[in-house]
Amino acid sequence: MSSQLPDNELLSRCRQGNLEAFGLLYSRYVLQVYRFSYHMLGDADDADDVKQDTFVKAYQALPNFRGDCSLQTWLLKIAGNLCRDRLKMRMRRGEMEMLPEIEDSLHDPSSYGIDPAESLERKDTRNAVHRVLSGLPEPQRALIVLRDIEEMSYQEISEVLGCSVSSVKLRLFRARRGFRDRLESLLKAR
Amino acid sequence: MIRLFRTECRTVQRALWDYTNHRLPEGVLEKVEHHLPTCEACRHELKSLRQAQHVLTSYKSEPVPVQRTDWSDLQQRLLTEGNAPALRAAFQNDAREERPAESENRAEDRRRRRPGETWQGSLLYAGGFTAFLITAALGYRFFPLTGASARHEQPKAVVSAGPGPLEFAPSQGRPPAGTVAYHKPQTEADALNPAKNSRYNGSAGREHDATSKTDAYDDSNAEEPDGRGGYHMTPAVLRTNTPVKGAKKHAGKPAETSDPDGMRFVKHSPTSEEAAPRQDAASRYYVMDQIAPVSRNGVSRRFVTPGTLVPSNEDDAAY
Repeated sequence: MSSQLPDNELLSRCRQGNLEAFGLLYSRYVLQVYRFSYHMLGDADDADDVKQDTFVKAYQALPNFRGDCSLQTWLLKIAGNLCRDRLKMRMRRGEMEMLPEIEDSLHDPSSYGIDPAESLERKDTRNAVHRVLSGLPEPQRALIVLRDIEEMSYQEISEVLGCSVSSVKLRLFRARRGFRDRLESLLKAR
Repeated sequence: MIRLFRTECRTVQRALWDYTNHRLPEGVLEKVEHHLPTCEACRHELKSLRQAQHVLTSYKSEPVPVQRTDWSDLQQRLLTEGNAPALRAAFQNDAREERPAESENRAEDRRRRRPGETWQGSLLYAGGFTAFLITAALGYRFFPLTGASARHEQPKAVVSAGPGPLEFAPSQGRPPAGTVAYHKPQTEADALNPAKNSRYNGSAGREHDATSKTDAYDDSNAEEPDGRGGYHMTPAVLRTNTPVKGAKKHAGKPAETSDPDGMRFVKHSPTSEEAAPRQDAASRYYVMDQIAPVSRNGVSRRFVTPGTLVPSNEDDAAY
C-alpha cells in the first residue's frame, strides 16, 4: 500500500478492517503525538503510554470519526485529554514531577558524542523549561506546547482545545506571560 | 491621553511575541514599531519576552527521548484490547490462520462466566428458586410425602379425576414431565393378586407375576391399552433404581427396554413387597419425571423439571 495516500483514504480503509492502513496513519502521526505528550507530561515513559493509549482509542473510535477536523487535530485532542487525566492522577497521588537533576542522572543515549559543555547547556535549558511548564496550569501548558513548541496554527489549536481563535489568542497571551514570569523567577533564583 | 496610551500598550504587548517571531501582519507591525520607541514599559516587556522565546526555541530544537514502543507493540495491544468493528473485520480478513486473542478472550469470558455472574442470570436463578420453593410448599401442602397425617388419608388425584390411578390414553404417549401420579390404596389381597398387578407392567393383557423379582418387561406393547383405555405407570417406573421408602430394595436388576425414540429407559419390576399394600406406601405420592434415560455406562440419570416433588429417600443421594 502506498504511503502517499491521503488521510481520508487511509481512514476508509481502516474502517474496512485494513490494519496496514492504520499502520500508515500511525507512522504518519506518532511522532507528533509523542512529542506533544512528552512536552505536556515531562516524562518519556508517561508520554509513551499516552501515545499508545491515544492510538488505541483512536482505532476504537474510528467508526465515530466524522471528519469534522483533520486527523492530526483529532489525535492531538485525544492525546490532550489523556494527558489531562494523567496529570490529574498525579495530583491525586501527590506525585512530584521528576526533578530534572534526577532525570539527568538517568542514561540518555541522545547525549552521545556531544560536547559536555554543550550537553550541560542543553540540560539546563531542558530542565528550566520542564520546571516552568510543570508550574503552569494544564490549559496554559497545552497552549504553549501547541503554539510555541509544535508551531500549530491558531485555527488548529482552537479545534484541539475546542474554543474560538480569539479565545486562543487571549489565553495564549496570558500563558506566555505566565511562562515568562516563572522563567525569570527561576533564573533569578539560580 | 494616559488611558488611550494604556489601551495601546495592551494591544502592542499582546502582539510582541509574534513581533519577535516576525509573524505580525503589516498593519499591526506598523502600529507596534510606532509605539515601541515611545513606551519604556513595552520595551521592557519585549526584552523579557525575547528571553523566554529564546529558551523555548532552544528547547524546541532538542530531540525528544527515544520512544519505548513501536507499531508492533501497538498492533499486539489492538489485538487484545481493540473492540472496534474495524478490528473485528480485520480479524475476518487478515487473521484467518490463527484465532485472534481478542475473540479468545471473549470466548474465555463467555466460558468462565456463569449465569449467576450476570444480573440477568442472577435474576433468573432467583426467580426459578422462588418458584421452586412456592411449588414445593404448595405440593407439600396438598401432597405430603410422608407423615402420620397422610397415612390415613385418601390420596388426592392431581391430574386424573378418575378413581383409579393415573391413566394416560395411548395416544398421549408417555406421561408428560411434572405429572403427579399417585398410588391408590389397595387392599392387601389386591396387591397379591397377580391379575391386578398386571397393570404395572404396562403391557396389555400380559399377566405379570408381581412376586417375581427378576422379571424383564416386554416393552414392545408398552403403549397398548390395558383394556381400560390407558396404561398405567407404576411409581416404581418413575424413578429408576430408587426403591420405595420403607420397602425392600428390588432384588432384580432393572431391565432395559428399547425406545423407538432413541432414549433408553428402565422399568423397575416391583417386588412383592413393593406391590404389597402398605398404608404409608399407598399414601405416598410420586412425581413422574421425564423419562429417565440410561446412559451408556449403565448409570441412570434423572431429569428433574422444576417443581417436581421427590420422596424423601436416602437413595436420592445417587442423584
